[in-house]
Amino acid sequence: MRVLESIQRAQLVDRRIVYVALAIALVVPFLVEYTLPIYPDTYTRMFFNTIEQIANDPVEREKVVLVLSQWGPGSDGENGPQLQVLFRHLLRRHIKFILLSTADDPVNLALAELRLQWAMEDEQRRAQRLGDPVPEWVYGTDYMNFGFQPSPIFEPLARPVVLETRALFRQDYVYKKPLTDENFPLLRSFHGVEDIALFMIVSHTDEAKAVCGIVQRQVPDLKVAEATMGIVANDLYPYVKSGQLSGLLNSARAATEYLYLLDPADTTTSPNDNSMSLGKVFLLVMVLLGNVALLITRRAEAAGKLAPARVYSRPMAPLPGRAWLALLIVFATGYVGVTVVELVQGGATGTLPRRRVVDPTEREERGPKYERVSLDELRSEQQEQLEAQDEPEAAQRAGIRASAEFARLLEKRIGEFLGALLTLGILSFLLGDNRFYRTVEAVMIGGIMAYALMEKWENVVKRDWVMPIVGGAQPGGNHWELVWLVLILPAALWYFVYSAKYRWLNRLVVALIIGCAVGPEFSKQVGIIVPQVLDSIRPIWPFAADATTGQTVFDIGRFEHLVFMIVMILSLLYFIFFFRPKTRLARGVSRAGRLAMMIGFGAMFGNTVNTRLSWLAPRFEYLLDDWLGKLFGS
Amino acid sequence: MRAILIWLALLFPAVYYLLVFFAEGGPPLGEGGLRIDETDVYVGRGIIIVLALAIGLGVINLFAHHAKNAVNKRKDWQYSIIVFVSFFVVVAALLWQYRVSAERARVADPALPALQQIDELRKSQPGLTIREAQAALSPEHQAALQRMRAYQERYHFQPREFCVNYVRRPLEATVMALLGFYITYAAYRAFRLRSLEATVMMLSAAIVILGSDSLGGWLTGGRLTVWADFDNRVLNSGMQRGLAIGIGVATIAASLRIMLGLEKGIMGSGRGEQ
Repeated sequence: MRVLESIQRAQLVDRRIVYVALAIALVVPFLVEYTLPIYPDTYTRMFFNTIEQIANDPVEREKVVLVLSQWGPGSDGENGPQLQVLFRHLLRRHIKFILLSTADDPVNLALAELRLQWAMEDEQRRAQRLGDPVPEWVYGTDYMNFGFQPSPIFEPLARPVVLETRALFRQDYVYKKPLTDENFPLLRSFHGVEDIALFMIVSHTDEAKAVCGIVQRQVPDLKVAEATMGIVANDLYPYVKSGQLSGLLNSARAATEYLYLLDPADTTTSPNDNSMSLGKVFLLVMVLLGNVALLITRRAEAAGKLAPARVYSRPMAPLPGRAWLALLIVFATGYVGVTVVELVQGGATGTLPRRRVVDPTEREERGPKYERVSLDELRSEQQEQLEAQDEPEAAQRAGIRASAEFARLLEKRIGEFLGALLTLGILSFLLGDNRFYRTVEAVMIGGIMAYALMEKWENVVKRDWVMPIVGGAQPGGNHWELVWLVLILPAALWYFVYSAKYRWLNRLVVALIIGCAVGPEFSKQVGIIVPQVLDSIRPIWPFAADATTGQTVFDIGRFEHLVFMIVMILSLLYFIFFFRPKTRLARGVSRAGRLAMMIGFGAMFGNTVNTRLSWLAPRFEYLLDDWLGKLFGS
Repeated sequence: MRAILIWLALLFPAVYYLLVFFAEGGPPLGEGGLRIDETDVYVGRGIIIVLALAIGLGVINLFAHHAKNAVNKRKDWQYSIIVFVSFFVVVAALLWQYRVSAERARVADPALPALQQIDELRKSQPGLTIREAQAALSPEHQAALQRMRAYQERYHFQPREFCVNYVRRPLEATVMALLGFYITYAAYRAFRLRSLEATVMMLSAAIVILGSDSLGGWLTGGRLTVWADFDNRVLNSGMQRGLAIGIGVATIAASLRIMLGLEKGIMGSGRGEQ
């Protein structure tokens, strides 16, 4: 009886207990390291092969890859590794590429720049480890950054971004120079859409659909591929099947699979991948336990062995003041303790932690991941490198380089301590609303607003609006630029929202923006539906004559299309509401439709779980590896 | 009258984009002019600027709300002060960044022709390394490159990079990561296998969750991975296409309704707006 009551109560367990259990599951792989084999999926392979084909084709090689980066810090756990591994592939195969963004939040581009920098470091580290010459890439020749043109709606920009890229972006982001062939050698290989080898999208939404619907209809040869979150990837699967997309990376696990394709001998799962794995297994186990508990209690209730549950959900009880105080003491002691250890260790030895430089003769994963290094060690290291390269003034330059490197390491360490504090602040919300969380939240709100304001002013309003108008007003300037003054009118309409009397004027500009979204949406839908319907109308009989032998053989592609068509038609039939399914057959078809949709919804839920855990595990990696790992693991 | 004006404001850009769609590849507007579908680059630029100018709304609202909190010492007014401090710290950091970037551009400017020459050399002599190409440059170009390299060798604090990597990334990524905890608890509490449909859904979800993962693949010798791939590419994809066709037709119908001004919510039928 008591056991049954406990099982009944377990279904209403305090959610914080589940959170702590999940956190423990996620932490384990960082403490107990192990590796697992990697199995790349079909569409990850397609993406990889698309880039390999470009690299191996002398004509395509001369073209450029446009990399549209449309993700923010929220989806960093998924899109970050995807973009980094794609950059690594492009850099390794020396394919020219241009980074650009139209995401509304300017921070997206800054994140992409960081990933590019890390990809370059990864490739250089790999070359060092393999004893190969360390590769270098020149900005303006091997790659470029066109910056961002922020807009919350992508559809009106889809066409100009692909077909008139240079006219839309006008300046590069790094040197703020006009996009001319004279300024940047890379642009001699890129004048229009015919020079795009691949339009690659790394995004937390489905911009690929807009590019397929609006642009690919006009330029059927344009290759498009997208790397996106698990939730969004669901939407995009049919477009790879119809050939509109040349590849699809689904979630963070696809980034690991891609890395495996890039370096099959060197890649196994990382603690971060294993942490995601255990998190997913934990979720499934919890679902199973929940159902077993429900089954047992229902049977016991039916048999009269247990009183029916009166409460089916319970709000999270606030923690008592004493518990908060105890947690605060534990946290403060822990954080301050770690800081003191770092200061004492660093101060006593004059060293800072860094990722261990791996000797070409050893495999990276065998030794500790980090090492501590002093300024003198850095100086002699740099001098050795410069002398080996026959660089002039080796001793003097080694000192400058070593100081710069030491300063960068110090900056990184300070940043990691700050980042860890902010991460813990947000995670504290799981225990209930508290002052630590609200302080960190206030920091976030102020920071986001200031960042958006400054970057939009500097890189959009000032650069693309104010300066051209000022230039146009000068004697000898292009007077046509003064036409942009007309934008004052719609822009001013935004601010009528503060006028009680003229508030309706604000609706004019809102309507204008809705119109800008609705018009291209119409053409987008026409552009994506027609190829979807056409792709469906293909032979479904799974036996076909072999092209070489002429014998009838089982064709797996046709079989898959047959199953695909059954699921698609059943899903469509479920939405026919013109008549009630009265006959047995009609009811059967309707139920089959529901089941077909449930298979799809199950896969969607699975991909959603992949996404959520892909966002969570890297935060533990940040705390346990970047922050604490450097202290205790070097 | 107001509703008509709002409708026209909506209709004008919508019709323009329909014209772009239907007049694709048509004749240019006047001799040597742009085709109608080529004008969208300017319209796009206009949209971006108008939307960027709306940022003031966010700043005004943020300041108005938090200034009221702080001045009137409402409940939790201290957090409003933190919002302002954070705001101005980031503004100062980005102003600093713009100075750093301008300095970098000033040093790099004379080196751009040298980079161009390196590119030409590498194209004409495949296999030439960047170092070898540099050695073949004129002394003037070599000096410009050396100045740029000397600048790059020194340490320059990048405030934007610091803000993004150590403040915004940890904050926003962790906020979104909280969903991992919530979905786990929600699945435990709510995912009940009460019917065949729920069981099928759970089975499909379990195949995708475990099959698209190394652990599931390893436990089943890669078989589950094949099943997950099949589930996503064929079963899920089939359902998604069915939905996409339905949604697509519905979106076209909804777009037409909006363009024709039949959506009253957008037209502003609210109180005091007619």
